[in-house]
Amino acid sequence: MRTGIPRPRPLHSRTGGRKIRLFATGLVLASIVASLASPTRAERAELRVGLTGAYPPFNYVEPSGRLSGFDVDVAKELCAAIRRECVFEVLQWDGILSALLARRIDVVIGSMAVTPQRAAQVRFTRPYYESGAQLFTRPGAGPEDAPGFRVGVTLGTTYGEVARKRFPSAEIRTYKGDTAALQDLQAGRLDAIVTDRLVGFHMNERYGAGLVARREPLFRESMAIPVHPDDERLLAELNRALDELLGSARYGELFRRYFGDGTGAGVVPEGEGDFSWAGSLRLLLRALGRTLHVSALGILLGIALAIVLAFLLLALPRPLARAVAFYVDFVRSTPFLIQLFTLYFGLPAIGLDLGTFTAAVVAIGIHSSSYLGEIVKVAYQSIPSGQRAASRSLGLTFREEIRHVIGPQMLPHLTTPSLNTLVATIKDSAIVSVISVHELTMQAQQLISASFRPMELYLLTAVLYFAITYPLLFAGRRLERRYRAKGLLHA
Amino acid sequence: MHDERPLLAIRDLWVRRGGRRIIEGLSLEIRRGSPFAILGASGSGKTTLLFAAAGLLPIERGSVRVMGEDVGELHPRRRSRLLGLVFQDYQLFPHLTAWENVMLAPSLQRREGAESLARDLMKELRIDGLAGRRPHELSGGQKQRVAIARSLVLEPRILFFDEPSAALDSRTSEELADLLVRINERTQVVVVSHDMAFVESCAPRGIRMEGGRIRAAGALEAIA
Repeated sequence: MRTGIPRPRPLHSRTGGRKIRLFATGLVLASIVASLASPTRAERAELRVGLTGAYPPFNYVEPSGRLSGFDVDVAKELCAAIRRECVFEVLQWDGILSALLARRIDVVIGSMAVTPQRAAQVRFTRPYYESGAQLFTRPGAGPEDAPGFRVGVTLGTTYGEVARKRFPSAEIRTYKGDTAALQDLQAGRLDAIVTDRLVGFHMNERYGAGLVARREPLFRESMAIPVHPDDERLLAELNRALDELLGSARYGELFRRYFGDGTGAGVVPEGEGDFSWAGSLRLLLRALGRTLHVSALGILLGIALAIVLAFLLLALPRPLARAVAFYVDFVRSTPFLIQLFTLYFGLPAIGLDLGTFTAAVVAIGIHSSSYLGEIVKVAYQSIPSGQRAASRSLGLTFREEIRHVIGPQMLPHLTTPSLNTLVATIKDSAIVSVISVHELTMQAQQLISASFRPMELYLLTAVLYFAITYPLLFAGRRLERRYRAKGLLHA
Repeated sequence: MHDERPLLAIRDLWVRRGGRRIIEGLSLEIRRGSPFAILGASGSGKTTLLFAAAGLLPIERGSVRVMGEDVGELHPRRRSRLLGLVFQDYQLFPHLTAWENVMLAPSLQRREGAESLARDLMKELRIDGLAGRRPHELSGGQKQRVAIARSLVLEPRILFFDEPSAALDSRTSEELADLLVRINERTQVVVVSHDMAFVESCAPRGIRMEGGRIRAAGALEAIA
């Protein structure tokens, strides 16, 4: 059971072919997604371990900011056994194999299922646990073949396909995330959900979700650790270490800590992953800083591009200006998400790799410039041509005219629309989390998936956004009033 | 006071504006003397002539020279010391105070003594009390005097006025006529206007335009 990701982030399943990866297919071939992680070169003694940090209980970020989970514990045991230091890299699921192939990381210890497609690209160790798709019902639910039996599955997984085949008379509903499906189950709007067997057990163990496992698993799968196909030595070392670990009592301890005895009758381990408001707030504030960072740089780039666009629109001869106007319309008429993906996943195919942060800044810059460009153009046109004639008659050079006469008069026309665009940008910047920019929304989702408190944490996140955007809107309105009072803006 | 060389010499001037030919082969010389009027009905081309002479419009053919220097080839700085222009709607800079409007060009040109000159001019024009006000806080007449100070502070050899009496009542109009005569003592005043009564009270000579050409030239009584 993946919890708390009610967004279409394709993280929901660890199993091969279980998801529709719209954009990942091409990029795996390109294999240079690069810069998913910061491109620091690892020292010999480090083992760079890739995982998403958003798949509890296997791997997730605690409110304290610490990575936890079954995968993390297994990774630490293995690192100790092969005498390397675990360095965890939090990445998005979609690019994680590309990062491995580009040697940004050494291994993925993140509950990756062994599939023929994946095995053709990377080498897998022996499996370190088994799981599978499981039908969980709410207590007292009727038989699966009863008319109107409702089953919830997560969008983008193959659970839907499996459920349809196995329960032909049931009504299959899709959800953006496991949290939403679980909430509907508890609200009585669903009779059952299909999700990962161990995840379901953990939900019972940790949160008392009250899920009843019914029948045998729908299918089983093995989770193993992929390494780069050329890393023979590492593969051998890891296999040796796994042999030892799986045969030890330590492994049983770890397993029971997260999944109990598999019946869901376990107890919550003490002091583990306890939810804390202070810790959550600290993480969210740090992520808010990154949101502001990426937004501010993006909007600065947007303003610079906007000035260029406005200049081209005003100065070029008609047919060329039309071409520029068409470009602006094109950017405005296409989704920001597609622009972001094109920059991040598309450009590496032609040998240009921007990296996550730069790609996000450039995407925001390009997108916002299409709005700001028009604002700059209108601001320029709002200044009477007589002002330019007056400047020239007073002997001002072109540069002086722009700096002392035209620029200052454009400013009042630019300020409020630009602040509004900045507010929109800060809100829209949540989208850049899809390419693993660790901003506010992504942080909130990680916390929610670890604590299963969507309501409180989303509200807190909304308040944080509001605390930043509202003063900007307020400042915009005040400035507008001031400019009006100074006679620099007309209704 | 009269100089041998013409202050302003326009030869065979042709000007197009918005695809239409407005000035057609006009020649004119203005020597230093009493205020000079350019009369004509609206559409006669008088404002276009003024803007072309001030170097603010491209010319199709011909030349405009001020004190022998070709206006079209002058650096804007140099041109502003030869020619000033007070616009019909003044075109004060709305984001600057009256004082800043007057001081913008001289401070960019780093002209020495400009501050004391500006202070004297504003006192003389009775706008010294308005120095800190922005254009939207000034009356039409006050704006006009700020615009005049803004041009005069650069000490141009010729100061053009485009329809200066258009927005004024008759009393302010009379005051303005007196002012132009006084200004003419320090710089040659050229007034474009269709307001006969106003012109009669300040400019004893000039030309009358019609269809982009000069219809009559000489003493005001002769051309009126």
